[in-house]
Amino acid sequence: MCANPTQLLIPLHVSYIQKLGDSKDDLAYHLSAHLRLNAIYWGYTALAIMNHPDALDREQMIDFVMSCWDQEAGAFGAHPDHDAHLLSTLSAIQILTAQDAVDKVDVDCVVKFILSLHQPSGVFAGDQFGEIDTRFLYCAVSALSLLGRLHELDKDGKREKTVEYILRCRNYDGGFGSCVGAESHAAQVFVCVAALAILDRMDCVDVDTLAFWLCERQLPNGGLNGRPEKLEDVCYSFWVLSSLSILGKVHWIDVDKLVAFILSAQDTENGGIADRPGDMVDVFHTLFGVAGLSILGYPGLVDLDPIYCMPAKLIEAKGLRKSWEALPRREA
Amino acid sequence: ELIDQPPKTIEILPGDLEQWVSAELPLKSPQPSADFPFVFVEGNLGIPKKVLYTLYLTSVSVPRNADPHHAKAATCVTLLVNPAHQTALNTRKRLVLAGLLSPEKELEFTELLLRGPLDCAKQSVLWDHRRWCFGRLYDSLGAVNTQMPLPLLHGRYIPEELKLLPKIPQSVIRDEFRIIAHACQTYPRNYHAWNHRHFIVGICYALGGAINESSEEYWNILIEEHANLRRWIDLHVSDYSSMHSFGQTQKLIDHLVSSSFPCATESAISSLPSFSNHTLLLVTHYPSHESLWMFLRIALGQMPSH
Amino acid sequence: MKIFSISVILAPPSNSCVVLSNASDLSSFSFYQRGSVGEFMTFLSRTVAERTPQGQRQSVQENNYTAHVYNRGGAEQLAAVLIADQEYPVRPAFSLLTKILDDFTVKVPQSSFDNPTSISFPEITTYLQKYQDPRQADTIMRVQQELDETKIVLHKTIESVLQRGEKLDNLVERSNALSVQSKMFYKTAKKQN
Ligand SMILES: CC(C)=CCC/C(C)=C/CC/C(C)=C/CC/C(C)=C/COP(=O)(O)OP(=O)(O)O
Repeated sequence: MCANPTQLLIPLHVSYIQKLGDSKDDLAYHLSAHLRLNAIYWGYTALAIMNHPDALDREQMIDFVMSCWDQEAGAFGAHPDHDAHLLSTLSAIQILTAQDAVDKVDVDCVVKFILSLHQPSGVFAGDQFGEIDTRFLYCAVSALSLLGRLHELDKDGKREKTVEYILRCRNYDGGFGSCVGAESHAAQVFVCVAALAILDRMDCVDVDTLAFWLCERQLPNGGLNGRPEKLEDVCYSFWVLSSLSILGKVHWIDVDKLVAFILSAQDTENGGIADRPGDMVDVFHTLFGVAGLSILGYPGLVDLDPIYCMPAKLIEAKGLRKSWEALPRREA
Repeated sequence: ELIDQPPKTIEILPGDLEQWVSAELPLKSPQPSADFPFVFVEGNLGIPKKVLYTLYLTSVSVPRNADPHHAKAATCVTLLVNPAHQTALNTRKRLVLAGLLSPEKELEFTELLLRGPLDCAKQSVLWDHRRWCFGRLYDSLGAVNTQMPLPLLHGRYIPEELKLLPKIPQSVIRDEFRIIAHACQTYPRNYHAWNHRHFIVGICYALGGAINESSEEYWNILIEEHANLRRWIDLHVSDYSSMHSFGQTQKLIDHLVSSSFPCATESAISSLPSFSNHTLLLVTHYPSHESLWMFLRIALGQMPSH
Repeated sequence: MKIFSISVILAPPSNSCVVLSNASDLSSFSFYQRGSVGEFMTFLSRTVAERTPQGQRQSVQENNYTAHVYNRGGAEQLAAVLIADQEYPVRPAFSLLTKILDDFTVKVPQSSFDNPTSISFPEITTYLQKYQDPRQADTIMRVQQELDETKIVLHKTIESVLQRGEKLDNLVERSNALSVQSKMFYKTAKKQN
């Protein structure tokens, strides 16, 4: 492996993602079955941001998404014969939206599933068994918005309750946790801030306190961590930067050092990006590394909407664009 | 399986059966072989990784609606390898709902997982599975006591949430704290284990603040945990999760004290140096830790105004 | 922060090291890991003691552990090694090592070094327990002042104290002191990191 790549190795990453589905006999493939639909969304979005939106077969993708439909629940599981869940349902909606194939789904049914998970406190459960987390709240809000059905939350004060719950998760440091009383965590900050942005309630955020905490995530080696005194990880390039971009403060980060850190986590032989240099790559970190670079204005990449984590053009075309600010795209 | 009693611990061992066939095991223990591809010493079950993976490839293909016997065995194996497998956990929940699996046994099983393979302890779904089991086992608070005085709810709960809390008996609460501490030790800064702790602390708070004969005992547990956490922080000075948790616990205790709840006497905690003094002391000793400076900020932000 | 193991080691220059006394707390490891971790800690202690020149103090990071070594040399040719997690502060670690070596030379006659099994030094266990919280160990401040921190070398990898071309993986592979199972545990631990 060459020591320190200074470029994003786009062709390698494209072929890495294309090959992911090939090894269906591998143990690793079965070990990640419960994340399959998410993985397809991660892979597809990474390709779209690298300007190769057609690198995966469209029909195959749509067929697979539809094979994950859980008839009993009326939503999507992560894999055929898996239970429906908000996490996989959002991924399904994102893929179908990007492929302009939402008409394949019984949208009323999905909306009903999502709304059935709204709790009196305002948070959403992930599925009928009731685990709650601000992650699921984001999935619900984002999915409803992509389906053009956000107004369904206006009934019975659901929208206000949802905002209220997010605000109850806020800590003194300006950050948010996964539920009331939980520690601030960069990924949970993203889901809370992005949900507030979709719900048009950014007025509730203490921008300076939060942006300060987010910048403090940058370590001397340029990478970002998710909470104080933890290890850096490429995925926080997205969770932290997307939040900062919604707050309009991406320029508070040391851009060059972060870019160098993300690039150093690439596998220069077989493609893909790892959590940190030298570790095994995976498609999750590949997307969030590329997404981070896009927000930082890295040359040759496509603009990413940080709120939906989908190509910005697509979100604009649907009339869903909210206020956010990435760094200007640099010339190669 | 071949073992009559449930094991004390379960562990995934590196390598294949071969390497363990040659291991020097105590004579009393069953020797690993093709018929018994496990290691079992003093009640501790060890499963060689490659053996487990072979079993896994079979277990994941067992459908959700398989007969209960198969479903139970298959989900066991699936979860040992892949503790984040939501559908496997749901299958077990359905078995509990159908009366084919007892929630007590399910708590024992998840405890083995949480104390066993390293990445189990960090799965939110596994901790939530326990909360779900508690919900099946114990009455919820609301059905018994709906006239919870309002100041108690302030910030932490809204009435609808409070109603849903399971009334977990004190001894079970104490065990739960032990499991959580173990998980936070083996996998440091374990986000979901600390969250689970918040949930349990919240129950102590709600039950300690309720007006009935057992409230004093719950209040005592809260004070005990407060002291345990303080010791923990002394020994884990980069563990901001524990400091956050301490701040939350302190807030709840202060709240019970300032709302003059019958059991909540200040004497129980007044013997300790104040929150802010404690954090100052730590910062002076270990000034290089970001966590401690943030801890100091929590302490200063929560200084009692009286 | 946690101290896992403390050893007093006979470290004659250009000869292999012998562990004279040792205490460890492996309670945080799982049942089957414990034996292997114990073997590995002894192996690591000897390896770093052998590679620390007399009169030097150094700290060596390996995986999530840090081995603090003080090779005092002197007439007794003794070294002491403390293996802790990375949170454990450096100064108290070296204060403790100095203290243990002082105490050991007083209590254990040099004549018994030839026969390590005959050595009784139960104090080492007490130190291990007491110093888990460096703030609680009262004598620390006194010894601490004698210590010049700038003389302690910190190595971020164990490779930097090994000879050129030497690799820990190879040393582990070749070691007779480690069982097949311990070598397997070592490999998986490495992969996870
Ligand atoms: C559409 C997009 C982009 C997302 C969907 C919304 C979801 C599912 C967001 C997930 C956010 C996420 C990764 C949350 C992580 C939660 C958490 C608290 C993890 C803690 O894990 P550790 O392994 O302890 O990580 P650190 O050590 O880095 O804190």
